[in-house]
Amino acid sequence: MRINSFKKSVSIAASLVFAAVGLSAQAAHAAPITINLYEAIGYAPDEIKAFNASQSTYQVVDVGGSTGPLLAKVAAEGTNPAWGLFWADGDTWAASFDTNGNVAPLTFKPNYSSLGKRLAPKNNAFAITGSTVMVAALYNAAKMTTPPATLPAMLRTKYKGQIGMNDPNISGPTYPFIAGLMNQLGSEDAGKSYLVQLKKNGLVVNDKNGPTIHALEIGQINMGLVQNTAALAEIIKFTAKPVAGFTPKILYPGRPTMMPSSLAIDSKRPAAEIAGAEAFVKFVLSPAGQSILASTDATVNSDVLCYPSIVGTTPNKYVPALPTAYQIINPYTWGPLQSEVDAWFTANIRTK
Amino acid sequence: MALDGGLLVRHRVPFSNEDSRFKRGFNRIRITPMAVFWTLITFILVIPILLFLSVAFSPRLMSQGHQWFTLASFKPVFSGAYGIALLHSLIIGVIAAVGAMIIALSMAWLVLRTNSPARILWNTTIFALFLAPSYLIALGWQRLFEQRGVLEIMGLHVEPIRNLLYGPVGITMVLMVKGIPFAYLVIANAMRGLGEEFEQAVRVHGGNRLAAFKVMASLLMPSLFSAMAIVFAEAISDFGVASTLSSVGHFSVATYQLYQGINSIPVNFPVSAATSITLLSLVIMAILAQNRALRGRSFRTLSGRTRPVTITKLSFLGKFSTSTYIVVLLMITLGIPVFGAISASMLDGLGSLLSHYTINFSNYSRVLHSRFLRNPLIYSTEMSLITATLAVGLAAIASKVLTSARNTRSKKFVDFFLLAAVALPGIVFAIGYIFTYNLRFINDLGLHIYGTSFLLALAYTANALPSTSRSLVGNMGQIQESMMDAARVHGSGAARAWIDVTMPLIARPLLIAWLLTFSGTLLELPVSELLYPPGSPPVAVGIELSLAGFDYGGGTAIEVLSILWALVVVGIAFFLFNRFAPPGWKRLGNQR
Repeated sequence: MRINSFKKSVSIAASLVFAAVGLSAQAAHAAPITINLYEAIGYAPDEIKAFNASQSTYQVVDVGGSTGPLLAKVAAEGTNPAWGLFWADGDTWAASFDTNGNVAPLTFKPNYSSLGKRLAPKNNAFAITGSTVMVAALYNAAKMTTPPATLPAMLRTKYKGQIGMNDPNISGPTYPFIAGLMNQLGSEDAGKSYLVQLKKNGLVVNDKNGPTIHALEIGQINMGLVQNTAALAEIIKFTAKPVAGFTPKILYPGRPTMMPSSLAIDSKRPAAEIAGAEAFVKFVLSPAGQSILASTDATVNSDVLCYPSIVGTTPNKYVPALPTAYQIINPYTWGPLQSEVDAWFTANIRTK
Repeated sequence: MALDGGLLVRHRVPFSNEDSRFKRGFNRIRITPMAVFWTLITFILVIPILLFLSVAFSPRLMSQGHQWFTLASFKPVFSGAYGIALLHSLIIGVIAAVGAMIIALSMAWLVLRTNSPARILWNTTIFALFLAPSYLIALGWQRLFEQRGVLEIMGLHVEPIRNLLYGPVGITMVLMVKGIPFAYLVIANAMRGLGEEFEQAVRVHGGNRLAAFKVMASLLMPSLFSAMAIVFAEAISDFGVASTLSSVGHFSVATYQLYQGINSIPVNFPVSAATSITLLSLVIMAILAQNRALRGRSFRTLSGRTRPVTITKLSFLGKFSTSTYIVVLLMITLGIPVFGAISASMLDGLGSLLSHYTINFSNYSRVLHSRFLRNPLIYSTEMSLITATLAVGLAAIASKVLTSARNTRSKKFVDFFLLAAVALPGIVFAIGYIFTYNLRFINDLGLHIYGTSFLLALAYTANALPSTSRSLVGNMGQIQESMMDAARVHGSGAARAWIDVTMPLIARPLLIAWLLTFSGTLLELPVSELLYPPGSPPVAVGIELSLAGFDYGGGTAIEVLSILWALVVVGIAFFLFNRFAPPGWKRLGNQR
C-alpha cells in the first residue's frame, strides 16, 4: 500500500469516526442546561436529589469521586472546564482555584456561624459547608491509659512506636494537619523538625485513615492521628458492638486544625450555569439543605459528622463538642507550600 | 511500512474519464480494516499518550504552565533518590515478570499435558484468580502476616517473613501473583496450538523429557515474551501495592514520584509526565530484549494438521507432588485474596482474629440496596460487553501486526504504544484522554465526546488493548499463513478465508481474550473515575466512594459481588461456546 493512499484512508476513516461521534454527541447534548458537580462529599448525592426536586430550572448532575482524582480531572480540563461546581474537603484547593481566577465569587452572604465566619474566605470566593478536625488522636484506651495530650508529650520514649499517621501524598486531609502543625509550632522548619523527632520515636506511616485505624485495631500502634470523622465512625462502630480490649477514644493533642469543606463555582461557565450553581450553593446552605446533616445515617455516611458552618443548623447526633482549643490556617499561605512539604515528607519521613 | 495484515478488503472502484480530479482521488481511497485499525490506534492510543508526555517539555501546550519549552520538570527525575526508585521499579518488574512466566509455564504444562488430579481445580478457578484485585491480594497478605495477625495468633513466629513482606520481596511477590493468571492464559492458549509432533520428534531423536520440554518452551517464545512484557509493564506502573506494602519497609518505586505530581495542589502534570517518560524508557528496554530474543526465528506451528497431544501419565508420586504444587499455588493466589475479602467484608469485630469476632453476611445484605451497586454494575456490564467486543476485534489485528515475520516500523510502533499504555498508570492514560478530547477546537468542530459513554468505551478499549493483543500473540504467531493463501487461491475472499481458516484455530483464544477484557474492564478504576459520564458512575467508582466514606465492609462486599457477577458471565460464555460453537472451533487443544 502506498503511503499516500494510506494517509487518505486514515483521513477518511477518521472523518467517518468523528462524524458518527458528532451525531451521537449532539443527541446526547440535547438535554436542558445542566451543571456538573464534581464532589467528594458523601452526602452530596442527597443534596443534589433534594435540590433537583425543589425546582425545575436547573439540573445538577453528580460526578462523585475522590478529591485527588477530581482535582486532577479539573487540572486536565485546563482552559475548557466541564465542571460547574466543585465540593470537597479542605480549602487549599479552593484557594488555589481562586488565586488562578477559576472561581466565581458568591453574590450573597451566607448566614455563617461564628466558626463558619472564621473559616470562610474574606472575599466570599467560595462557600464553607462544614468542617472537620485534622487531626484527632484516636487511641485505644484499653491499652493506652495515659495518652499524650500535647505535642511534646508524643515525643516521650514511653510512646515509642505507638503512634501512627497518614501519608499526605495519599491522604488529602493529612496535609492540613501538617500545615497546622507547622503553623502552631511557629514555622515550616519547626514543623519538619517535630515530625523528624516523631519519626525517631517510631512514628508508623500508613497510606490513609483506613490502614492507620486498622493498625490501631490490631495493636500495631496505640494511637492513630486521623481525620476526626474517621475516628468518630470507629467510635460509633465499637460503641454499637463493643469488643473487649479495644476501647477507641479521641483526644486532640496541641491545637488541631479545623479543616473546612469548600464548595466553589466555576467562573468559566456561561452566566446561566453560574446562576444555577449559585442556586445550588444557596440550597445547600439553606435550612432544607442543612437538615440533611442531621437526618442522614452517619453509620453509613460519615461525612455528615462535620461541624455545621451555618447558624441554626442541628449537627448530626453523633457529632461531639468542638475541641476546646483549635486553630484555623490560611489556605492562601499554606496551600502553595503543599508540593514542597509533601516531597519533603516522602524523602524524610516516609521512605527513611 | 507493512500495513497488510492479511485482513485487507480491497475494493478498487473504477472511475470514468469524465470524473473530476477530486472524484478520481476519492475513488482511489480504500477504506480497509487496516485503515480503520490505524485510525483507531492513532486516536485512542497514540495521540492521548503523546499529548500527556508532551507537557514534560511544553507545559503551556496543554495549559499546564507558562513555558512553551522547558526541561525543569525533569529536575526531580534526575535526583539520586529517584534514580534508586527507578532501579527498584526495574528490578521488581523483571523479577515479577520472569517469576510469573515460569510459574505460569509450569502450570500450563501440568494442566494441559499431564493427568495431575488437581488440574481441574486450576481450570475452574483461573478467571477468579484473574479477577482478584491487587487490593485484596495485598490485604490478604497483610492480614496473615501483620503484627497480631492470623499467623501470630496461631502461634507462628512470622516476624522475619513480615519484614520481608513489607518491602521489595513482598511487593514483587504480590505483583508476581497478580501476573500469574494473565501469563497462564497467554501461555496456555499457545500451548494448546502446539501439537505433539515436536515433542515426539525430540524423543525419536533420543532427547529426554527435559529436552522435549526445552523445545516446547522455545516454540512458545512469543507467548512467553508476551506474558512477561505485560506483567513487567503492569509491575512498573503499579502504585497501590507498592504504597501499601512499602509503608513500613520504606521502599520507594518510580510511580511514587508520578503520583506525587498528580496529588499535589496545584496539580503538577509536567513532573508526572517527566516521570512517565522514564517509565517508558524501561518499556523500550523490554521491547529491545524481546526483539533480540525472537529475531529471525519462526514460530509458525499451527496448521490444519496440528496433532492432538497425548497426556503424560504421572506416577502416584508425580500425581501427589504436582497436585500439592497446584493446591499450594491456589492457596497463595486465590486463598489469600479470598481471606482478604472475608476479613474486610464478613469479619465483624476488629477485622482480624485477634479477639472476639463473628463471620456474617450483614454487609452483603446491606449493599444489595446500595446506590453504589445495582445501576453502576449494570452500566459497567454494558460498557464491558462493548469494550470486550471492540478490543478483541482490534486485538486480532494488532496481534497479527505484532507477529509479522518482518521487524517493520509498524510492528515496532504498535509494540511500543501497546506496552506504553500498560506502563503508564491508568490515571495518566485517562488524563491524556482529557487533554485530547476536551480541546476547545475539537468542541468547536461540534465534537463533544468528553464526558460521554462513547469516550469511556474508547478509553476502556485502549486500556484493554495491550493485554488483549498480547493474549493472542502466541496463537497468531503460530498460524501458518500458507493456509490463508491456499484458501484465497481456491477462491475465498479475504473475510471468508479468515472466518473459514483462521477463526477455527483461534476461536477459543478469542473467547478467552474477550473474557479477559470483560473481566478486566468491569472493575477498572482509574480510567472510570476520570472519564465516566456525569451521573453514571461505573461500579468501580461506587466501590471507591463506599471505601472513601469509611464503609470498608460495604465497599469490599460490592467488590466481591461484582467479581461473582463477572464469574457468572464467564460461566455463561463458556457454556454458550461449548454448546453452540461449531465443532471445528473447539478442536484446538484437544487431548487424546
